[in-house]
Amino acid sequence: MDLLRSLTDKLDFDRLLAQFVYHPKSPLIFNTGFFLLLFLVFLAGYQLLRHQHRARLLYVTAFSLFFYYKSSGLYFLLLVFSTVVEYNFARWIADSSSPARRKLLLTLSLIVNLGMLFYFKYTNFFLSGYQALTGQPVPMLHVLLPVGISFYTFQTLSYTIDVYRGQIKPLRNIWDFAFFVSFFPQLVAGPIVRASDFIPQISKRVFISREDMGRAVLLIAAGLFKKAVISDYISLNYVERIFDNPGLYSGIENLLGVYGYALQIYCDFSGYSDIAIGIALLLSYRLPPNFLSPYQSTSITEFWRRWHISLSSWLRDYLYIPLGGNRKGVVRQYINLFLTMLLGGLWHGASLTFVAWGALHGLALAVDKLYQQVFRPRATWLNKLLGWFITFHFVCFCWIFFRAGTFEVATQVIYQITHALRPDLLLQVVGSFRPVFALVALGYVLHFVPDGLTLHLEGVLARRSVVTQAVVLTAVIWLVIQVKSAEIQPFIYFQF
Amino acid sequence: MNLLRSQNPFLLVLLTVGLLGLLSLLKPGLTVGGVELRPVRLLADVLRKDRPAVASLVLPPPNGPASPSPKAGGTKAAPAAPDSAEVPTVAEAKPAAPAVANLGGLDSFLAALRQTKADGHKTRIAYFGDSMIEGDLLTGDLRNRLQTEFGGSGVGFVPISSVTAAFRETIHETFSPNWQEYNLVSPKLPATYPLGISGHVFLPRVVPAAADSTSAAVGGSWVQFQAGQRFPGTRRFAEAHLFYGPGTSRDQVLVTTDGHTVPHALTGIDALTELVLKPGRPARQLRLDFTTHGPRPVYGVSFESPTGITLDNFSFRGNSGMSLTRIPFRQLAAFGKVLDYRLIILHYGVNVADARNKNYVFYERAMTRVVDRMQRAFPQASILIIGMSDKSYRLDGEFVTDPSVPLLLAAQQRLARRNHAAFWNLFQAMGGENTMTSWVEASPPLANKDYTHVNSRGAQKIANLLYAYLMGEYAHPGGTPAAAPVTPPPPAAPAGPDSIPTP
Repeated sequence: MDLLRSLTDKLDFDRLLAQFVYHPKSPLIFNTGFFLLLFLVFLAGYQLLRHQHRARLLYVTAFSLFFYYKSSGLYFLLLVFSTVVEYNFARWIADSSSPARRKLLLTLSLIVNLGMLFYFKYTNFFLSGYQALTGQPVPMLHVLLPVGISFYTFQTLSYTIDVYRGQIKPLRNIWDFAFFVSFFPQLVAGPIVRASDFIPQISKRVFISREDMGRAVLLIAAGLFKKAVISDYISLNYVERIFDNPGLYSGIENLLGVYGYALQIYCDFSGYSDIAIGIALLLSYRLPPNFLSPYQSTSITEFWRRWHISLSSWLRDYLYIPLGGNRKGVVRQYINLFLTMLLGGLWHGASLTFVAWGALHGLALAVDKLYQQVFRPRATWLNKLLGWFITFHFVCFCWIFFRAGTFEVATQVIYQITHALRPDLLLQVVGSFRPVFALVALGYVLHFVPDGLTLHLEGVLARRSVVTQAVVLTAVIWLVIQVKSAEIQPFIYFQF
Repeated sequence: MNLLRSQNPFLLVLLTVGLLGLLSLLKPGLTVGGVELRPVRLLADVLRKDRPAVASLVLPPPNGPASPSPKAGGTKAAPAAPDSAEVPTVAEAKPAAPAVANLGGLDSFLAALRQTKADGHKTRIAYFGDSMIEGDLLTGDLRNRLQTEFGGSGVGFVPISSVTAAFRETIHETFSPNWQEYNLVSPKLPATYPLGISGHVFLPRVVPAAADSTSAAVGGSWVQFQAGQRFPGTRRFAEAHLFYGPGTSRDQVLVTTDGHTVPHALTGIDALTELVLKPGRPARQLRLDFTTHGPRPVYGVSFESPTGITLDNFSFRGNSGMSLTRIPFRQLAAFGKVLDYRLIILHYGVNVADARNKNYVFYERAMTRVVDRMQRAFPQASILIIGMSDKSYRLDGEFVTDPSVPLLLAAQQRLARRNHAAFWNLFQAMGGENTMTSWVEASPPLANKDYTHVNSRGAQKIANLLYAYLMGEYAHPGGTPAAAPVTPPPPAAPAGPDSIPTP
């Protein structure tokens, strides 16, 4: 009782209330203490409603909308708008027997979806492009980018297109559809869930097997470790500084920065995906895997089967194949590959550096395809090793453009690596940033852990009691807290 | 237990939160293997905030009111008060008035500025600093504003090679890899080749005596400069001054300006010789090819004009300022004879302040030696100590002002007061507590993610603030906090001191 009283004494109600209001600087992300508490309260309700199908769906949808409101403010209305519009388009398409009318409805749906994405994400990009070309000043648009818009527009698009193609039947209840569109675990950062994967799960009863629970705990623990321990630490204490001012650092520091960034973006992105998949699993929903140890790839084609799988397969099914895929001759196939990757690059952000990143990958995919067709290399270990080495370094090279923001910065990084490498500083640099490079090394080692071991660990966790599982989660969260409040590495400049 | 029963994730999360709750009861300050364990504060976002760390510490006062130096109008300096009395409490530390008054000590510089304004007579400024001014950050903008107001051109002194040559925008420098360099952090310094004013000394490669010394292709060392386009005053070289020490009599340097080559003998046996090179008309490129037959210290090249302002950037990354005493006094004095400095700025601190250290008396003592040597080597120069900028450290996952910042600032201010130097409190001028955090988070950002170093935008903002301070002193020396600069900002640099001009 005393504990409760001292707690209410200390509680700052203004700050508590502020947690429930949209604040652009503090979106609701999984690796925060507030989310953990909120999720606990949410799960209590979820557990109570687990047998009431309709009420449970409404409950989750309401929570999802709140979740989105916390990250994007009033833009949650966009989500509502998108839901209402796409629900009806899909129904009208399914109900119409006239091919022309169906096509018209699909086109309208594409215009609405892509128009929304274009308006918020690319207006300024094209306006500034126009300005640069004509030299005439153009007023820029002052809008914030709604969080996750690239993810959920692609998700709803897949629904309407699949209905148009007759691959799925449209939902006949708008609340079911709202549940699919807004489902909070993957809402803002993926994986991009296909309607065909998710919709059949909506009507299922809640059942979480021991295996599911073990897998969820492992996914969340590993995801937190990747995102909030490895990625956040190396980014703040090393990588960001290099990309802020590449010219201030020797080539070796820049090179380590690039390797570091390759790990950082993988850990950040795949870690967050893993947490999302784990959280969905705790609610008894299965989301598709998004990353499969991509840096193990021995060719660029393989890389794209392992990196951001939900996006690359989306691009394949809804962009590459409609463009003609490989059905219109070899030349068209290469062009289609290239175009798909170019647009895929632009999807990541409205900047020419992303376009360059996509173009490089598109080109590499075409070259790889050609190479495989002409030379048909045998899968010897030497070929594999060579393929791995080239693939990894090519991917790293492309990350420079992805991260740099401007071509000027990218050029500086490349210039320093090629003109002022100074490999003699390696030990000095690594020695001065020991925790950073220990984490980088650990990250890469963990990346090469075979899948069998992961499955084994899932099994071990599944057989343990919920207490043990909670201890594992607690240990990782405690580690996250340690890293999150650790002192920043003092800045060290080398005399080179 | 029924294997087919659904698992309860609520229980999992409840247990996790409970365990974290238990961990939060651990006493703060526990250490494991020397590493302090951070407390678990699950409710940190919704509980009342404790007082921020810095607010509970004492802050030094802002710049002023003036305590005139003995030089200033014959008034005597107030006797130094005991340390504790010098450091007022927080309430006193934040007056409404802007923090830009002089502590005394800029008189010589201000007199020189007035003369420059009247007849163009050259005023030379040395700006010593650490990585905060690397690549001419801050000093480039400050120089530009001063040269726009008082005339003059050129980037000032440039050492033969620099780790940040690729980063610097005001001059582009390339150099042969065969220079031998000693500097402030070299483990051993040869007594025969003393460090120069920049903290470096460079030895060109010795070429065989038989080599044809009129050709550049004998394998000697070279350095090449290309004017940077960033500021109008530094787009051409009006005059270049080469600084070198003693060596063999047959040494020479081939000077190429914009494709036109002239040989010059390296004469002189003094500790420091200045060779003035004047191209027929202002050049954009200068290349120096050295043919030396024995060891010959070379220090650098200064790009300047006969009139107006020359401002030298002496940056040295990682420097606390204390190691400047590694420059032999005799050599510093030799530079003092050749270079008539009227202002010496010492801008250090980010490499000294450390949250774990609560006492900076050692720093004050060591820097007193530095200031004393500067005062003796450059008797005409005013000394300006710049108090360190804000620097963050992480407290419970939040970035706040490092508690050592006010402590070091107090030490820097005492250093200035006791040596009759001027003091400018950059920490206060840039916005005081937690400004660094807001600069890092600003859009576009003004500082880097190490929460210590400003970027070029932040450096420009600081340069504008410093310029406003100097102009305030110029208008009302030693007076109460000055208002606006006496002259309106020049059209070439339209930015007010508080605004960031768009590039």
